[in-house]
Amino acid sequence: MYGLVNRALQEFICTHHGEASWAAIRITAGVELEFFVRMESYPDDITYRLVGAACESLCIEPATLLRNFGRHWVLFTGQEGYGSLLDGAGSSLQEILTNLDDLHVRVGLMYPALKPPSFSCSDVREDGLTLHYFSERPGLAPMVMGLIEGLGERFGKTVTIRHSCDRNAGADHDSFDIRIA
Amino acid sequence: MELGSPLPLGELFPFLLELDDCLRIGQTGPLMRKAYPGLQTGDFLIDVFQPIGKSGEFVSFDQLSTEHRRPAAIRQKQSPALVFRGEWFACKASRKLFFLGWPWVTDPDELTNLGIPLHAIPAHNPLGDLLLLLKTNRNTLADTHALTEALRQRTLALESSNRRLQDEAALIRAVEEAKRANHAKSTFLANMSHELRTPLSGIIGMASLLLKRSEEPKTRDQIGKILASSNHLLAVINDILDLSKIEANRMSLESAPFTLSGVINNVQNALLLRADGHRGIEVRIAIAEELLDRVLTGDPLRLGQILINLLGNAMKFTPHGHATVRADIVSAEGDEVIVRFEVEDTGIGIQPEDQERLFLAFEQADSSTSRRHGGTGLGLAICKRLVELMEGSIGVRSQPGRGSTFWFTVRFSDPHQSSLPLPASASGPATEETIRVQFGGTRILIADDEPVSQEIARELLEHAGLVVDVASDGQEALELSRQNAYALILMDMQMPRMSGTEATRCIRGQSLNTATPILATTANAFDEDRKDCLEAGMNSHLPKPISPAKLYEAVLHWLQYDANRRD
Repeated sequence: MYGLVNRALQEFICTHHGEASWAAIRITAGVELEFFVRMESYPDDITYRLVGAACESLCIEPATLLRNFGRHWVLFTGQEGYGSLLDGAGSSLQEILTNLDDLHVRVGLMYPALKPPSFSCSDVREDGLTLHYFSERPGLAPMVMGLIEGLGERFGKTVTIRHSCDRNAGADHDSFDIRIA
Repeated sequence: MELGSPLPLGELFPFLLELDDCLRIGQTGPLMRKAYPGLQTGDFLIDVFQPIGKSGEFVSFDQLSTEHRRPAAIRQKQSPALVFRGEWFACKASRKLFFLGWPWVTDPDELTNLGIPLHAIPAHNPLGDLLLLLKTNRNTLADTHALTEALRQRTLALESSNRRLQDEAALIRAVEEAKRANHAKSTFLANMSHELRTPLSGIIGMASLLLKRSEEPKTRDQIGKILASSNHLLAVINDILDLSKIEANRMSLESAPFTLSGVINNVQNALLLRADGHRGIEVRIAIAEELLDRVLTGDPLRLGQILINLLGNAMKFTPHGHATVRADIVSAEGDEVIVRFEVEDTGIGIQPEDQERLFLAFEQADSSTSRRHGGTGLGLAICKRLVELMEGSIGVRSQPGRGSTFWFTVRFSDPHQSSLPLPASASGPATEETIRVQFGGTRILIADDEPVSQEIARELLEHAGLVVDVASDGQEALELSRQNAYALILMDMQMPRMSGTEATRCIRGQSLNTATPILATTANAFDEDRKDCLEAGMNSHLPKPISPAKLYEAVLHWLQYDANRRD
C-alpha cells in the first residue's frame, strides 16, 4: 500500500481521536515508522496492523472504521493535491464512478507497485448505478462504500448504497447498488 | 495532406490554430476557444500571439512555413503567463498553416484554472498523467523536505538530550566528589580529634594527679584552671568528633531502657559542673507526670547531650530570669511514643533572620556571639542531626529581648516496662574510697603503650589502693595474663606488636583471665571501635580522655561485677 493511504489513516485518527491515540495505536501495531512518504510503497501488512490496532484501541468495528476512513479518503486526497485528479475524473458522481477504473488504471501505470483495485459499472441510469469492485486485498469493501459516500458529499448528493454482492459471502467480487438523490 | 472535415482535427488537437496565408486565424480547437473566449475568426495571429525564443514577431506565411514541423512555443499577448508548446504544420498546397500544441503547464491546477478539466484531454494524450506524475514528484520532494526537517529536529533534540545527560552526569560526578570530599574531611577530623584527644588525655590526667597531691591554694587554683581549659578544649573536640561521625555516617544510636527523670538529673548535674552553670539562673523542670518515670527505649546519652546543649545555651544567653525544660507526649501508639521537648528561656532572644541559620554547622546568631559567649557553633547542628537520627525534628521560636524556646521531637520505643532492668552504677565522690575499702590490694592489669597514659592510670588506681601491673603492648599483656589472675584488665586498642583486640582474643582463648572483665581504653571514639572491642571479647569501652571520676566509676562497677561473678 502506498504511504498516502497510511498517511490518510494517520490524519483520520489524529483528527478524530488525537495524536496521543495515534501514537498508542502505532505502538500496539508494532509500527516503528513515524512518517510515511506518500508515494513510497509499504507492505500491506502495515496498513492492516494499523487498522486492527485502531479498532482495538478505539473500540470500533473494522467495518465502521473503514467506512469512515473511506469518506475521509476523498477529503484527504483533495487536500493532498489530488483534487484535480478527482475533478478530472468526471463532472458528476455518475461520471466519476464510471471513470473510477480509468483513474486507477492511470495511477497503476504511474506506480506499478500500487496494485490498484479495478472497477466497472453496470445499470447506469440517472438516479444511480451498480458499481463492481475487484481487488487483491480482502476486507476493504466498507472503505469503498465510505469512498462512494465521500464522493457523493463532494458533489452535494445523497447516496444510498446496498452491498448487493459480498466477497465475504462467497461472491467472486463485491457489488454496490447505488442510488443517487 | 487531406484534413477532411475540420471538426475531427479540432477534436484531435483541442488547442488547434488554423491560419490562412495572411496569417489570419481560421478554425480553432474547442479548448483553445475555451481558454480564450475572446478569440475571433479572422483575427490576425500577430495581434493575438507572439513567438517565444524568436526575435520579433510573426512576419509572413512564407517565413512561418520555413518552421514546418519544427518545435514552436507561443504565448498570448494579453496573458503572457500561458504558453503553448507544439509545432507549425505548413500545407503549401492549400496555403494553410496549423499550430498543433498544448498548454505548457506543470500542475494540474493550472489547467483547472483555465477551466479545462483533465478529462477533457483526449485519451491518447498522456499530459494529464504526466501532470499527476509531476504533482507526485513535488509531493515526494515535500516529503523529503519534511523528513529532513524532522530529522534535523530529532538531531537537535538528541543533542539537547545528550547535553542534558552530560550535565546530569557531571552533576552526579560533582555530587559524588563533594560527598567523597566531605567524607574525607570527616575522616580527617575524626583522626585529628584522636590525635588531639591522646595528648589532652595526658594533660587532664596529669593535672588531676597534680591536683590530688597539691595543697597550696594558688597552685590548686592554677591546676584547676588547666583542668577547666582542658575540659573546654575536650568539649570542642567532642563536638567536632560528633559532627564528623554523623557526617561520615558513623554515628549509631544506643537502644537502651531509661527514664526521662534519670536523663534530666544527669543533665542538671552536668550543667552544675560547668563554669557557666553557677550564675544563679533558675532551671525549672516540667515533665509530664506520665513520662517522668516511664521506661523508654532509646539513647539516653545522646538525648542528654541534646538537652545539655539546649539548656546550656539557654543559661548562657539568659543573664537574668529562668530556663524551663518541658517534656510532653505527642502521641503513643503501639510500641512507639513521640515526645516533644521544649527548652524555654527568658534571655536575649534571636533575630528572625538569624533563626534559620542556627542549625547549620559553624553558624552562630552573629559573629560576636562566639567572642562574647564562646562555643564552636556546632552544638545546634549536632542537636539537629541527633534529633533526625532519632526520627524527630527540631526548631526554635524566639523574639529578640523576650527569650527563646527551642523544641524538638523524638521517637522512642515504649517497651511497657515498669522498671529499669539495669542496676544503677555507682557514682559520686566516694567512688575512690569505695574502691579502696572494698577492693584494696586487688590486682589489676593496665595495657597501654603510651607512657603518659600508663602513668596517669597507674597512679590514679594505685591511689585507690589497687595493685597495678603494667604492660606496654598486647603481647606483654597476654604474657602477664597467662602468669597472673587479675580482677580487671584495662586494655588500650592500638599498641605495637599486638593490638588490644588481638590480645583480648588470645586472653579469652587461653590464659588465667578468660572471664576477667576487660575494659577498652582508647582515643578511638567511633561506634565501630566499640563494636570491635565487644566482638573481640571485651566487656565495655571507655573513650579517652578518661576523667578520674569516670575511671573510678568504671573500675568500681567492673570490680563489683567480677566479685559477683566469682561468688
